[in-house]
Formats: sequence, C-alpha cells, structure tokens
Amino acid sequence: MWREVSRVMIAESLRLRRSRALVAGLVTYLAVVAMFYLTYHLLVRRSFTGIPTGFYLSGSVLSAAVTSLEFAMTLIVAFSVAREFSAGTIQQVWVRPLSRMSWLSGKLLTNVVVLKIWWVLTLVLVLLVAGVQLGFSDLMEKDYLIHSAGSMWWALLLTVALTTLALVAEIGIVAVCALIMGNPGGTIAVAVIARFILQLASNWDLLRPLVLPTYVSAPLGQFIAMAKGLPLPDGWGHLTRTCLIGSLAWILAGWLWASWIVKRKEVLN
Amino acid sequence: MLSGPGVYGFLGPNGAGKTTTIKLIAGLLNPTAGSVKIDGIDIAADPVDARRPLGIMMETPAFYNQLTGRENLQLFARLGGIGDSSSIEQLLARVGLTNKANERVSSYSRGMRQRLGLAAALLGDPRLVILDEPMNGLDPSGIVEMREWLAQMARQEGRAVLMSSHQMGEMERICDSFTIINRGAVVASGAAADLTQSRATVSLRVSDSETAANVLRSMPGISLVEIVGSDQLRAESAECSTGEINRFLVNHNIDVLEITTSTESLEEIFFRLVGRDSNVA
Repeated sequence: MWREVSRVMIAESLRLRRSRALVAGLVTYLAVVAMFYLTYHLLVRRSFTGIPTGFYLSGSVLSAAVTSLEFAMTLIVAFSVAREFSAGTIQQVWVRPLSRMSWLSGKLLTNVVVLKIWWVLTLVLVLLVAGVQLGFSDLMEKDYLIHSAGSMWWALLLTVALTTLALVAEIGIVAVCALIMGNPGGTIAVAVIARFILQLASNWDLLRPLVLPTYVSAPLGQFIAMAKGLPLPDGWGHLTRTCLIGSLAWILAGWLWASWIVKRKEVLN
Repeated sequence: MLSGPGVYGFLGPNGAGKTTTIKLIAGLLNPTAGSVKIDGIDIAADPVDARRPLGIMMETPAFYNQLTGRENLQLFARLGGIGDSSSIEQLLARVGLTNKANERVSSYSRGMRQRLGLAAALLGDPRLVILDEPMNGLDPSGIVEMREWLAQMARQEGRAVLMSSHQMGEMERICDSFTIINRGAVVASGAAADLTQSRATVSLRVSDSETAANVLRSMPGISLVEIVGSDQLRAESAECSTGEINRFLVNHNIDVLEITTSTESLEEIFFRLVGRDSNVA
C-alpha cells in the first residue's frame, strides 16, 4: 500500500506544482507574515508583560500563522478532493490500478507535507525577523529566567510534531466530507461550520480534551507560555500523551470512516 | 462477455445503459446485482488487480487543465505505476499530439482532448480497451485516424476493444461484433456478419407475383413475403439462398426473371430492435 501511496504523492506533487491553490497558500502565507508585523508592532509590544525574548516573538506569531495556515490548507484539501469529482478527473484516476484508500491517503499526505513546508518557512522567517530585531545571540541564550534556549528549541520541535499529527486527522476528516459531497463550495461550507463548532466545543472543560483543535492549540499555547518566560501550566509529558492519544484516536476513526465511504462512493457524472 | 482480440461495438438508444455498463466494468459504479469479472477477477472484490489489463476512456474525458498534455499523461502514468516515460512519448506521437504536448490542456479543442483521452487509456499497454463514444468531437480526418487506430489495436496488437458510438456507419465498418442494449437489457449480440445477414431481403421479378407469393409463403425458411408490383415481390429469409428460392419457384412453374439479395444494415437492425423513436447514442 505504501508504494501506491508514494506513487500518488509523486503524482499529486506534479499537479500541485501548477496549482492555483498553492498560489492561494502563498498569499495566505504572506498575509500571515504581514499580520505578524501588525500584531507585534501595534498590539503585543504595548501590552507585553513577559520577558522579551526572540522565542517570544516567534511564539506570538506562530499561533496566528499555524491557525490560519492550517485552516487555509484544510479548505484547500477539501477543495482539491471535491474538485476531482466536480471536474470529472476522478474518472481518470479511479480507473487506474490503484486502491482508492491509497489515492486518498497519498493526496492527504502530500498536502500535509506542503502545509508543513509553509509552516517551517513561516517559522524560519519569524526566527529571522526575531534575530534581526533582538539579535541572533538571543535565540542561542543558554539561560533564560525559567527555560533554557535548548528546552525551547526542543519544545518547538515537539509542537511541530504534535500539531502535524492533529492536522493529519483534521484534513482527513474534511477530505471524507469532500468525498461524500463531491462539490467544492458545499464542502468548504461544511468545513468552516465544523471548525467553528469544534472551536466552540474546545472552550468547554468537559469537551476540550476530546476535540481536535485542542491538539493544535494546547501545544502551541504551551510553547508560547515558554517563549514568554512564564511557568508552564502543564507538563510536556502529560500534554504529549493527551495530544498523541487524542490525535491517533481521531486518525483511526477517520481512517475507518474513510474506508467505509470510499468503497461505496460511486462516480455518477 | 468479451473473448479475445477484436473490436466490439456497444449500441443502444439514449438512456439504454451503455455508459452505466461501462462504469460498472470500470468499477466506478457498484452493481446492485451480479458481478463484473476481468480475467476472472471480480472487480468489486479486487479492483486493483482487476483493472490492471484495463484501459478506459470515458465520454468527454476530463483532465487537469492547468497541466500540459504531457504532464497529464505523466500524472496518470504515475498513478498507474508506469515509470517508463518513453511510452508516453510514443503514445503522444501515436495520437498526433507531440507538437501540442507542452501546451496546457485548457487550450485543447474537444478533438484534441479525445486524442489525449485515448492516449491516457492506452497507458500501461492494456489488453482490454473500453472507449465510450471515442468519435465524439473528432473531425472527419480524426475519425479516419481513429478507425485506423482501432483496427491496429485489435488486429496488430491483439487487444480487445469495446466501444460505444452513435455513428452507425463507422461502427459497421470497424466492429467485428456487436451488442445492442435497450432499457438495460441485451436485445441482440453476435458477430457482425451473423447479425447483418440474419435477415436477408430477396427481391424478385417473376412472371406472376401473386402466384409466386403464395408459393413462397409455403416455402420453409421464408419469414415474410410482400407483393411490390404485378411482377415484383420481396421476401425475407434467414436460411434460404437465392438458388434454393429460384429452384423452388421454377419447380412450381413460375418463371424467375430477376433475383437479388440484400442484407440489413446495422442501422436497420438497430431500429428494428429498439424502435424508430429511440435516439441513438
């Protein structure tokens, strides 16, 4: 199966090279960076109460960058899957000797990789800006007040890994919705509404550990707290376990749902 | 059931179920009853292996418009697990798109898309090629080329080609056998020669058409006798040769002045089986 998935990933990257969706991604990316400057210069600096480190600068923009980029990518994937049905290209794809699950998995993973490239580019840009504004030595500082630079780099890596896992689940579920609906507009509407409902649900203590946005916002929040030089509300070990189990459970549920749907899906047009 | 190389025609009026049948064979639709087997493999049970010998071009093939013709083929080849890029160049040359291969598909005419669709169907050198309305959008020279490609695929390359089309004349020229369906059911199927000669019309000029008609009605194997004029009549027969009819009439003291036989065209067979009000497609 993984050989088939890698075939799909190569084919999908061939398609994405010329995709307008990627251009939209670039625009989103630039918007995020612009937002960072606005946020940092106009709002955060005035009301800042923590310790001004380069990691703080990075952390403050990461939250906005990750949330907007991930949301944009969810929509792009939904559009990309549904578009195959509305444009009719799915007929060309599904008549090949290739399992439908491999196709879906390859498509999703390619988009996750693309998103993560944007993600890392954003991060690098943010760290560069932080380095220019506060000095690169700041990012290599051995002893901050509470957290060391080493632990913050480690926390940053963990945040990237945990949010990626949550993202795979989120994009997968949206892709199955796209498969069911087969039309880009409707799928995007469902994705936006679902995201809104989940975001609301994540504000309730009872539901927070169960909903997907938590597995993105919790590690990000933790990293930002570290970057501000504040004590951690929760241990990284506990947080990692919660996010891992939660994300994997959602991925498993999404996988089972996708397997069931994809077998029954018919190409009518 | 298709067995061995050849061009198999698939005919039926609009809504008869041709495209639905093709989609069932491709595994794009799930059968509510029965099964589709390719090389003995049930497509519902093992779609990946069942599709390996299969190449399909659906009616109005869709492509990624932002990609060029060559890139589209490269993408589909990847999906099909075909790493050999030289086969793509050969296919582009075969369908006459080499010069346009680096242009985006969004700029392609309908005929060019049909050609690219054929190339995409032939990726991976399939033994069974299914073409849904392959002549649509082709200009006269394109139709002639398509006819030559189909003949080449079946006779030189040993492929089985199943094609649906509404161009009866072309179908009659190209196909070795036909299946005609109506309202989801097969109404006729068989080799082209068997179908078109299944009902021969014999036109006769005789000394006395009324007596000859009565005599012919008593002849075994004659299904319909019609008087056209005082010395002319027409009879339909699937079994009797002109020699037998001539001998039979002469033995009954009727002079036969002229006798000719004509077979039914595919179009006539089609309309006889599905009715004149049906739209062919």
